Amino acid sequence: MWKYSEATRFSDRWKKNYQKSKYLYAMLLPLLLYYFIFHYIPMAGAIIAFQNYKPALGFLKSPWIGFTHFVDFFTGPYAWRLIRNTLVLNIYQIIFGFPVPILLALMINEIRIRSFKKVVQTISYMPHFISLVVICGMLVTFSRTDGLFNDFRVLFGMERLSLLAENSMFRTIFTASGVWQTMGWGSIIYLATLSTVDPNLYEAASLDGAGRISKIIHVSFPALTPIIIIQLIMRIGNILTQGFEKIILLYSPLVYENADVISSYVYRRGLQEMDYSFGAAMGIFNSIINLTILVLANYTAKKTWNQSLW
Amino acid sequence: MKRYTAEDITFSIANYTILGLVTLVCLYPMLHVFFSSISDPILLMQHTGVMLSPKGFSLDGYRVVVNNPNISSGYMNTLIYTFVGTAMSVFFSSMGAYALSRKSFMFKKAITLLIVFTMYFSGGLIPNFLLVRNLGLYNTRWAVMLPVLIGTWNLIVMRTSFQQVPASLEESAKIDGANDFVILFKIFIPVSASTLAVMILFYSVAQWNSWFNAMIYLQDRALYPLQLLLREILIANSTSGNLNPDSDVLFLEEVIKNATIMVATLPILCVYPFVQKYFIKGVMLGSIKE
Amino acid sequence: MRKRTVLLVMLLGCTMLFAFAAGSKEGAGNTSTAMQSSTPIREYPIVTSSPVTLTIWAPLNSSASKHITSYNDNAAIKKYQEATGVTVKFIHPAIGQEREQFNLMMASGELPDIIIGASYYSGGEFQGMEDGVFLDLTEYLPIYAPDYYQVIQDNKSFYREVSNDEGRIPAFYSYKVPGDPPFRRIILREDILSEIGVEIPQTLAEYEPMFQKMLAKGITPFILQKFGYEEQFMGLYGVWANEVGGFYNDNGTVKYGPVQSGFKQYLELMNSWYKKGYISKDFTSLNVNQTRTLLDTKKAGMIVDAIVANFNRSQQMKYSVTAANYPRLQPGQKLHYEGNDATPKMPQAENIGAINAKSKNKEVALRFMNYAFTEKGIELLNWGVEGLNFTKVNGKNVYNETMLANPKFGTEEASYIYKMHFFPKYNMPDTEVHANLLKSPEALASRFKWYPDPDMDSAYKLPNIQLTPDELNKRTRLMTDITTYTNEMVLKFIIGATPLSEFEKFVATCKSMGIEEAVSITQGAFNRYQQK
Repeated sequence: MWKYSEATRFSDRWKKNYQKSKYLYAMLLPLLLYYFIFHYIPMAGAIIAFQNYKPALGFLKSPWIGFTHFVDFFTGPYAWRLIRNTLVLNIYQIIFGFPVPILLALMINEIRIRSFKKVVQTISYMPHFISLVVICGMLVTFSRTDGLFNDFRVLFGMERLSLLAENSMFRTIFTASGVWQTMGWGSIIYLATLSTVDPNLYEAASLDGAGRISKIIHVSFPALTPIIIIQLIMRIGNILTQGFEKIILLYSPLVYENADVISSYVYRRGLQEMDYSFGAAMGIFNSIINLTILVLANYTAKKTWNQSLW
Repeated sequence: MKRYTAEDITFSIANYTILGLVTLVCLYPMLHVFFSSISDPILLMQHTGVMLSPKGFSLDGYRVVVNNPNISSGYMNTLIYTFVGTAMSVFFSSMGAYALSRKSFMFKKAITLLIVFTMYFSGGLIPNFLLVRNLGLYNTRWAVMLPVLIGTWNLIVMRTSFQQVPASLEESAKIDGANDFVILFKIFIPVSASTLAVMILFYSVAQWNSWFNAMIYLQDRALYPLQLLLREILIANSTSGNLNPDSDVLFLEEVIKNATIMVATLPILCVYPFVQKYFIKGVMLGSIKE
Repeated sequence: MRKRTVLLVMLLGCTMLFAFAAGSKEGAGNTSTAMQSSTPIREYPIVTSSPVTLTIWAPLNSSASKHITSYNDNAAIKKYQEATGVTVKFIHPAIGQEREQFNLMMASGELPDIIIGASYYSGGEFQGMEDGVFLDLTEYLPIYAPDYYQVIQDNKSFYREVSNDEGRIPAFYSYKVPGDPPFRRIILREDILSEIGVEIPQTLAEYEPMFQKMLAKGITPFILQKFGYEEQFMGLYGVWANEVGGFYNDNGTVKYGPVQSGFKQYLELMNSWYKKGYISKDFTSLNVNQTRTLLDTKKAGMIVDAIVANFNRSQQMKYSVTAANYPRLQPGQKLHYEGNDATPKMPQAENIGAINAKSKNKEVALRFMNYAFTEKGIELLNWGVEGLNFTKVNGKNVYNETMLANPKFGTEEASYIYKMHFFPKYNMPDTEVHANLLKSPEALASRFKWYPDPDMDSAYKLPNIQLTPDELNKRTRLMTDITTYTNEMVLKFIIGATPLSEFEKFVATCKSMGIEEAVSITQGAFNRYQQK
């Protein structure tokens, strides 16, 4: 806590710090202004989660209904299913989707032939640019009984099924397509980090008798550790966020059991009646859970690897 | 003369094979889109399955896009938003990331927390809209560039990157009497060139692809960026935008969908190879030994 | 350090709330102006002391947006302005984002004089009137919009639909004389029928042999609607339902289709067809275009879709389609589910125009909108500009080449470039003014096939009843969950994932989710409606 010795009063410490780092304060000023104006001021508008908001009435006059929205959602029959699906899809995406870009970056980094390296890099991130609508259109077509995926199934002796109508296939299709679309783009930041590794380190490792794989484990990978941890923390901090667009494009009532998530449910509700408040309430719930998990993840990372967001 | 061990060779073979497969699998969607965009609309509609060559030939999709009256201003606007926006974003982000990465800065933890908090809580559509209106930015180009000035994720990554720069570099510069601005721009930025290159890439791609903010904040079609126009073109030709059950839906929907992707994506795909050359190894200055 | 942080955060919070609330819109008030006169005003052009420009917010038709950027460029609107003596300026939201931009406009508090698409208002346009945002037109209509008022007075069912329980009217609505032939039919290919040697089926029993023969030829017989609800087969068992949780009217009693015993029979029928392979296994993931393509490529034998659209398209693709009449269990069975044109009020958002309660040009706006119900206005908006896109032949209006075979665009676009297909107005029947139907006599004939059918009516269709905001809230809450459950179960029953022996369990679950309450809310609103 506070000690009353010289120069430890807050105002004194701050003055000292300012003297030392006044340029830093200057550098931060535009940043702080930006966040205050464009993020914090509108945040006050989140109050509509607690109201029955009507855009025309504004915030001051819309009727106040407290926690009704939250109660409504949690006492509904599907609350558990929606939360579970949101979490599961995210966890799958983290388990399968998080390591792949890292592996890809490590592999690309090992290519010696310059031109091949460039080609792989450039092509691997192309799927990222194709809009979700087209990707999902392709997935839907391939999943039909006469589609490509079924052609493969037949090769392996399996029967033809309308794959997107099968509840058990949804998570696979959703996750795998996500990995495919984002792995190239996701590897960029790791590749950039790998390019800053001092080549002398590899030389030294060679002299110590290290083989390719050993060098990757002991030189390349450690260079990536800080960025991996930060990425992982931020990714885990989004554990309850699942955008509805891709879900809507792929799902049907037959697979609600595994596919319906919080955001797609809110979307359907919004179609019946433009209920801003309900959407906002769900958003707040999302955010609170996410933030809690984020804090936990950050704390764990700090204690374990001494790397953290803050 | 380097000698290749058995491990070396097996590893390389496996590596190249896997990456080759990855390349093919990632190349396919782009080929699909490209071939679809130059196919005959009706034949395209009837084709199901894998697309390894165009079906028929037709430039109808591109024609519709190019004939849109606002297409050239759309491109112009997007270029403006991308260049100016990215420049501002990278400039302010690097300054902020630098400051937050300095151990000596006493508020870094508090401010980082406040910033990360904004990734999770936001006012939503209407409060942001009202804010932009009240600031007098509605229907101006600033409305498209300012609200997204700093990408928090990018900021954090840059900060992490700056944190990895050896303290000795900063110390030796300080001894030479340099202030923080000089250190940032003359030392840190060159040293972290690859991260910076990635930031430029991320910001410019985000700005290039964005249409939602433009949709909310702009009324004048002359200010619309490319993506928003393309989206309108797409909807205008699709069954979803069509309320009349008895109307003749032209088959252009599929071709146009693919043509718009080509038109929107090709330019930005060209940015990456340009940025790629900053990923060369050994950019580090060896100046520590001084 | 802690204390400071807390103080800082509190200060931050207060500043935010303050800056925010100060900038946002204050609540709306409802001001009423004293009536200037009490005799109806019918003269056009409208004479005002100084020139008036009305601002109108309206969705721009997506097809037309390819060629015009505003309805100000619409030929009929140009003449309309001349005839009324008023200039208008259209404000259009971005295509595809009408709802969002409408709500943003509401939040900004700056509304134009006229708002077309008023039903986008949260809770509907009636709520907009209650909240004082839209002008309550009731007192103004007899004086400033006498032609519109006349239509309301002459048509009791129209009156019921456009007014709330107290008889107050919030907007200009489109009136259409009910009775246009239905647009949605069972569609078959003539060449397939002759190949398998089958006549157009009339009764249910004739469908299975047809399917069998189609399957034998490797054609997927039937593409069922994506969610599994096909009213043409449901109607056989005296029920009706759809995927958004619709209710129907069985002789004054409001019912929810999926829990009726007749619905179980429908599901059994669909399930047996699915098992026999008569229904496409991909039906849950096919969209309209893909379904139509399957028919075009002879991969499918039967779809249920818009007849004229398919007729026109099949002509282009060089084959012929034909429509089947409503299937029946036995000839002469009376059916009640035809929803097309059952009621005079047209539901589309583009057909609903409200007046801004705070407009400075209320009277002018009212008179401007009224013109659409005068004889000249009707002709202008329904057909277009005489000499430009239609001519008078023997007293009848007939579209010319510019409209039906324009080299630059199709009839869909033309319907918004030369005339206003959707606009709050008095609508002449589709068979007289719809350009797509009038492309060729064959197109029109395809729509008229099997019409009129004396054993079909719209008795099941619920009129456009209004619920109070509380009722709406409650019902939406219940129905979102109930439709999620129902839609899931319907598909599971059809594909056999759940055996039909569990139908009773399904009904019981619906009941436990509150379907009876939802039904009684609707019933109450329906009863109130009938009293008007």
